Amino acid sequence: MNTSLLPSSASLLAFATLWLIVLNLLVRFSRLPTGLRNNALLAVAAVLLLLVPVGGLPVWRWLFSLYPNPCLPMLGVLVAQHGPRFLGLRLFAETDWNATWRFGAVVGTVVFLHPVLLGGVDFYYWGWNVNLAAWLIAAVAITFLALGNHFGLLLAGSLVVFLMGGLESKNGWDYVIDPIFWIASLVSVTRRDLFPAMVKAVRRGPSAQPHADGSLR
Amino acid sequence: MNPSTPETPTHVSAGRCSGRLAPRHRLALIVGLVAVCTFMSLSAARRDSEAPTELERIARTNSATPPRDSLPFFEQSWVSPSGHTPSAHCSTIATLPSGDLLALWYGGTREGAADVALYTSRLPKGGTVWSSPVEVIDREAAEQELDRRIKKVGNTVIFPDEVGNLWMVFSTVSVGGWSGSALNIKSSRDEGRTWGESQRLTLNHFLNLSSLVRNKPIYAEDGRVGLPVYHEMATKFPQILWFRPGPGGTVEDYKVRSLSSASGLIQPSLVSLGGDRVLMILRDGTGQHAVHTALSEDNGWTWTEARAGNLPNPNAAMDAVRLDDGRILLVYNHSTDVRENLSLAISADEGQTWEHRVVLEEEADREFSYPQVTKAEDGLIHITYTWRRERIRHVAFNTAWLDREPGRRIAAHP
Repeated sequence: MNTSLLPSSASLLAFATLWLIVLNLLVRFSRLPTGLRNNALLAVAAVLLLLVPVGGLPVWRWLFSLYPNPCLPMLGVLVAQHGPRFLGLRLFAETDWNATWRFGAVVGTVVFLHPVLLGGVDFYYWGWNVNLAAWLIAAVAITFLALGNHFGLLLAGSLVVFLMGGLESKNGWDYVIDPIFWIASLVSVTRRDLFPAMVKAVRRGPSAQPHADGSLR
Repeated sequence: MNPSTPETPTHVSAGRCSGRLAPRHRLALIVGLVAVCTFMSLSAARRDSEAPTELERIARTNSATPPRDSLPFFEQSWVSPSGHTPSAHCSTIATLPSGDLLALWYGGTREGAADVALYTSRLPKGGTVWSSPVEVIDREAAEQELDRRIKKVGNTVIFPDEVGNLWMVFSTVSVGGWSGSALNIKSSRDEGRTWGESQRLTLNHFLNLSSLVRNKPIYAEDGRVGLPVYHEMATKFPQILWFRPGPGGTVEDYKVRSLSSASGLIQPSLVSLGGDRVLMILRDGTGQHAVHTALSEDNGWTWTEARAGNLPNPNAAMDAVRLDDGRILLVYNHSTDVRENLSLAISADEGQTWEHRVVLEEEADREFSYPQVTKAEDGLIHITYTWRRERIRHVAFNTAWLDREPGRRIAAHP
């Protein structure tokens, strides 16, 4: 194996995120009942799977090649998902999840699609300005925290990691949004918000309208 | 605190949500965030000044030293030896502080092959023979230094900074084709004899895919280096990577300006026009088949809309340099669709119009491409380019030779 097995400081968060993703998959597909022994087994199995060498590189290095800068909300989402099983805590309430996915969908769409949709505007550049990026993240985090929403904690964590330079990227946007989190957010917003709204609209359609006498068609 | 109230936090058992944050916790977090941001703002104020200060009066490629001779001078040589690698492409050349010239290119079985490596060769000051190629980095070494899968190495540029360190920015691909490239940087403190570790640059928002490099940078007086780079995935456009070389050959900070309105135009070449003015010359991928130019009045920070000029471009790389008399020399393929000739053109009006001057190479069904040009301390102009995709060729001349007979053809090889 020609590269180091374990993560360096620049790839530590990426390793943690990948580990939680694999753990998530193992939990879903193994369907082992909750319990300290089973949980430990799954956690260790996830690490070992990431360290399996393929073509001279551990699996996690391959994944890191494609996903070098996982955002902090993505890491937080994975921790929150595992909370009930591994920590005995339900870390996110429904409103926290709603805030998380809506933030990911909106910010991801702006950051990732602006070169195609708005040719002359360079949103990504703003992320290089440490002051601007930090204050923007802080302002949004403060808004969520003022509302008591736990998503604010993920943004506060993103800010701290950004200021510490915890990812390979030095751009502030990369600490709050990444393509995987964006796509997951779009899927979740569609499933949780858009799809129910569409169903509701269809149900409220002409066929369901009552006659003047109150009876349905 | 009433644990039964949903709005107040609770230490919960498994399966129960912790609810909303307590007001005092919210306040503490908010105060903490504001304090952290304020501290950070004060410490980062110096680093985050926007546009770079005035461009260096004497840029690396803009030496004020007069040509060594007013008589026409021209010579040509091979940088890469015959049969060194089956394929050689994409050379870059830099004038070193010692006066030596260093060329770098990639060679291997073919472009994009796993055995492609980056090679350097040195032309000592006053010498006429390039040294034997030295391998700098290949795919496996890049994989080791960057701690990730590397499928191939590609386009590279080398350039000195103001304290004498030599820098190399090179592209690597982990998956897919060239449009999936990412850029990496390394430096040398001994003019390219040994190199430090590679560092990955994160320049793009989508998985850091699609950053490529071709031409040499401009230099700002505040120490920043403005390297022209470009993006190719989904939409093509030029970018400027501004970075500040740190002590000991490390990158202190960097940021990228995307010029996404210049859609379809890539491989920018920058020419400092003096003062705050910079000319950008762009390879045309729009289908207009013309050399495009844009102008900046603020050290490359903002640009005019790119416009097509009077020279053809077959969607191929170019490079340019400003001569001592203020004219601009462009090395390019004088064709709308093929790379069968390599030519020189001159602009006396800062890139608004061009005059086709000399054909350096011309042969049907052969490729002469990817030129790079630099000026040496003695005023000679040096060009390296891809010769038939087999070797790297070098020509050197002075302005007296350039101005001798407009329209002539040079193709004699030693």
